[in-house]
Amino acid sequence: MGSYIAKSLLSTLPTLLGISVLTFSIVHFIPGDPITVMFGQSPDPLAIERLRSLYGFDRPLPVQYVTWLSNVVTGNMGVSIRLETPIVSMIVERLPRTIFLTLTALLISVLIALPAGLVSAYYNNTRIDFLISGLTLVILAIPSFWVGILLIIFFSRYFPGVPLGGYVEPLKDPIGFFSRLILPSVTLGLALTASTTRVLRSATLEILGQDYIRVSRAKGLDERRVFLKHALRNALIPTVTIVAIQAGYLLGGSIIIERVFSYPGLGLLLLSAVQSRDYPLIQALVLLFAAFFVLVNLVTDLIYGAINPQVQYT
Amino acid sequence: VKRHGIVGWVFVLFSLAAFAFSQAEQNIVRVVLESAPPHLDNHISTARLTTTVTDPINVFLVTQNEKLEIVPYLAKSWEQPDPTTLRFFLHEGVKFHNGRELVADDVKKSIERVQNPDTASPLRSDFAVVKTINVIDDYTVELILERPFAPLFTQLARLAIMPMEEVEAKGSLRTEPVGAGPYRFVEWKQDQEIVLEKFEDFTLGEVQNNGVIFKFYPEYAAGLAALTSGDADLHLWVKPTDIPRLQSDPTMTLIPNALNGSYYIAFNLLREPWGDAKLREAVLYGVDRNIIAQIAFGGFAEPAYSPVSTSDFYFDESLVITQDLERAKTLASEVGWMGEATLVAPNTPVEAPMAEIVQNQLQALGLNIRLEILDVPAYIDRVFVNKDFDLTVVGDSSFGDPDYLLRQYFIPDGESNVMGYDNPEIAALIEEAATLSDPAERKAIYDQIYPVIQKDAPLVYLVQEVRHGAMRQPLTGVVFKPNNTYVFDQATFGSE
Repeated sequence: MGSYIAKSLLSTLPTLLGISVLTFSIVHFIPGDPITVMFGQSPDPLAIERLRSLYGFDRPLPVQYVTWLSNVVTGNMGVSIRLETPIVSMIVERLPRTIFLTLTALLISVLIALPAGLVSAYYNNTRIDFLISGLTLVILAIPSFWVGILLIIFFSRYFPGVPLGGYVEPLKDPIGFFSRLILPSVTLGLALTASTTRVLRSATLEILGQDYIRVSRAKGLDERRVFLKHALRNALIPTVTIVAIQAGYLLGGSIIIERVFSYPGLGLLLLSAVQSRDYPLIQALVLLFAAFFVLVNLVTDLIYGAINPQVQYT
Repeated sequence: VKRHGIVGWVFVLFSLAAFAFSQAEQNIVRVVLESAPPHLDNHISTARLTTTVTDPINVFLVTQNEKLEIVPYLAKSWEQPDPTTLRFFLHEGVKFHNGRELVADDVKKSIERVQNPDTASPLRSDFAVVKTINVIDDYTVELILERPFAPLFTQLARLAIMPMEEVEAKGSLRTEPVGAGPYRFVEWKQDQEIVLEKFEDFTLGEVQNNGVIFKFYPEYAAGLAALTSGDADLHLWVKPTDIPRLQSDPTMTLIPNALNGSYYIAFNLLREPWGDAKLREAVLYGVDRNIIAQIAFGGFAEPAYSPVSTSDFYFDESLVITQDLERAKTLASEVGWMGEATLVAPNTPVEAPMAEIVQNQLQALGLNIRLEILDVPAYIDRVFVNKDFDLTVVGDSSFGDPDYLLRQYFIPDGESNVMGYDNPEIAALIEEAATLSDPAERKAIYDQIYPVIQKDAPLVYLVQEVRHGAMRQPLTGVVFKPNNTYVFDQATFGSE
């Protein structure tokens, strides 16, 4: 398995390289650059010229790319143009926040989806199944940022004491930290809850129709045992795959949710970087997000093997 | 019962946390901002978000009162021995936040810093007129100008006096500003808040509160919720649609602020058919300013007719025009242009809907207009850098002197003259007015300028906004100035 991990990690290098080329090109080809943004409606041509050459934006793009890449490889992500702060320190500060938000969202969604999916399958074609399936469909259809805004309006009106997002240091004020985390992680996890519930329901239903389940029942095993021991374990295989893949998307979703709830993670940083066309910061963050996604996929493979002994790593 | 108990506890904890929060921050003004400032170096950014945060940190030679008149600040007085010499007498004992006394040399170095092209200051061109700066003694500084230039006072009210040793040590003051103003910078939690604390050694006035915290809410609904739920005390810019609701809320005080700026349509005169003054005149009379004020601002805006706002001393009633659809249609049909033009606008909550209304109103004149909405950096690049547009709808404001917008837009090499407007007589009049220090004499010249640029119409002015801030009671005393700047040091909670 060790060699499998090493091989997988190696095979991600071309992917990451491709992403870096793509990001670099897109960032530089979209109109607007970090220098002109600074001057707004009264551009000063002389100052713009000076700054462009100061930051090296007057050099050919391939040269800029190679310089940037060789710095990144040595761990130097560069300096944010807007704030003149090292990007690595900005990332180190925010990375745990985004990971924490994503994991909490993931946890919430699994905690809700597991029972909901099983109940829905167990009571297949009854009112409770229709209710759960209907709800998941509605949740899937609503964009999460809108859910977030609705939650903010609802809580500010009816529960004025509840913090509506923002951030405090977990070590300084743990209660404040967690109370601020609830709304964004629920919002972020909601869509994942819905899709997980649906996958788990259909996987369970499919397995409940299999011969070995019928055999178990014929052996006289009680229904609870059939359901939890035989059906659930097998239904988890496709479910885990879905959850893990979606976890990658959660990272993407965190961008908009962090904005809605003013949660100062990587997503909010990326948005402000795009708005000020802070090239080095955008490039570093997109690369980081991509690397995460790749990593999540690798972890998915490994978990998959742990659940399903038929999978072998070579 | 048990479950209810848990829910109850959770809410008790929430409320305790909220209570502790508001107690700890008593007598500190918490302000909602829609986003973090680009950075906090006042010499390198004059963006509204920057000045909102940095103005309280800095002192300026002079400042503007609520009517935007120039009043003493760091300079207790000044004299003008001849038209090109300005001599400022500074208060003694003013200290920077690092403890050093502010002296005349700091004024000199601050001006020199913005004049230096390497600083890339947006104020650079505004201070080009300052030829020499003489430090007479520690508390007297003299500016020698290239030519008499009255608008310089407004620019001096924008130029923060900074301790250069801090600039040299840190490279710039983008993330850790140091000034000599009523508030000391404490910390900037990125994407969260900026904390300012009352500067105990401030001698140029009495600060009525203990500090200001600017909290960032990129999502408008979240910022408003923070205000109404008590997480913040002051919102600087509420949307017109929320004004009626906040007006009827007994815990809120709304602060209307008629801004010294306006929204306009700009034409690219170098592109057909907009070089034809007749077509621009058609637009001048064809747009319905009241509808725009009604739809885009919920009625909280007034028609605008020139770069100077209708309540300003320099405005003249003769500039008021009313919509004349027949005249506009006739003019448009005389030009007989059948092509298609692109109207570009930035994707801001104000400009984007306004551009749609304008598109509709122009189509009613028989003009075929396509709309293109761009994000702000792309918009700036397209219109203000590359001048690649037919028409655009956007807003601009000045810090108070009429010279600023005229110089930016109506002289041939003005930084914002994207229209390609070139009228030598107007350019000469603008220069002439700037040399006069008597407001009445200046007005006499502006009375000649405004009618001409209105008729030439490289820009068609649409509306001027009455922007609303909202304060949560018992907060009082925050000053909103028409040039979109604020004063927090007189703000207090409750009876003082």
